[in-house]
Amino acid sequence: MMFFSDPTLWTDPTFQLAWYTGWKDQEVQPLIADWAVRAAHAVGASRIIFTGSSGGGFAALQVSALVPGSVCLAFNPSTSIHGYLSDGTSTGTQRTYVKVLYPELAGGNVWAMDFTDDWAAGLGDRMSVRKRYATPRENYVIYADNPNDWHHDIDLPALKEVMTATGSAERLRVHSYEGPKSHVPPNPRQFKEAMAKALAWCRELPPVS
Amino acid sequence: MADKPVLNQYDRSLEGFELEELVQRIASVLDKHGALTVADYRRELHEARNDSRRRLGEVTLDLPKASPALNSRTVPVKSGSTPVNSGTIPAQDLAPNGLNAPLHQVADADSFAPVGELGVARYRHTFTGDRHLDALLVNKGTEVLIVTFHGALDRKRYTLPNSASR
Repeated sequence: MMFFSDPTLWTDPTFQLAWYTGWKDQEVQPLIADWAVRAAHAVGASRIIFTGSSGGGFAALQVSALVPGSVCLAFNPSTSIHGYLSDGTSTGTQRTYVKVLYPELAGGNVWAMDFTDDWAAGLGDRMSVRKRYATPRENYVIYADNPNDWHHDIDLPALKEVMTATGSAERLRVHSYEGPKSHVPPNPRQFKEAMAKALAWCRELPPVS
Repeated sequence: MADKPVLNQYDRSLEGFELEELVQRIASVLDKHGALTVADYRRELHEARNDSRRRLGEVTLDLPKASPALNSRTVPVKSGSTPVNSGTIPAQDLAPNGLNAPLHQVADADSFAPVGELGVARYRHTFTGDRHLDALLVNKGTEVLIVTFHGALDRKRYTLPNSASR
């Protein structure tokens, strides 16, 4: 196993969520993809599964897309930083992200910023799974979905739509599990059940090159 | 007179996987005593967190072992990764925070060359501005590498990996 800490969080001591985007002049998702592939080669692993929950699921989707043949197991992930609402309602997390990393987008007053506009449009596909997967990808995705989580109504349809549009629908599987009416990580049993499916799938696939 | 006990922010933030254990423990206290004090709540919360984390650590996955040829393969540390200590430590010796694994400084992020031996090692690349890419690699000789990412972190409860190797 390999665990990554989000380097973006070093940019501010109060930062809680930064989706492993890196900062203005430093993308980190390609670097993490490279480290994961090198680590797999070093330890003799022929297959890679990227996994995470929520913001970690976003990162798993983003990095897996850069590693052909890899499998992504994402639990109730967000698929776009623009539009992300904490607790399904608040733009607070987007606001903090902009304030710390891209204050110029707020014109000096993040509280006056209109978050309905796609402020991340010019920042590349590292900010959006939907944009990254708009180009056909060679990885495989299991979306672990708690239908009681609000991401079920927003992010699952968005990912399905974009992967279908690129002819990649067969690369997406949905693993549904019953969780609380909330946005929380899976419990150990839920994690293990979903991971068993990811392991079974990746055994059917050719090794990562 | 003693201060009235109050709940702090740490007491009020729960991970989803901690909740089930906590509810069971509170039910047990109520069954026994018919009331729940703040001290009871804090004690049970502490125990629930410990139990939940123990259970998380007990999640075992049926990972296929790598082929013997790959298993015996070792990749030496190249110039891109300079070990502060050397090699790895056995997985069973890893502390819960992972900080006792040998730390390898990766000077050139594009030349990451992790050690191939079984066990656990930490890797760090430092960007300008004292920002770090930190990774912990647990090599149990399996055919599948599982790479994990965390979600939102409560910075009052969780700290980023520090540079100490022990």
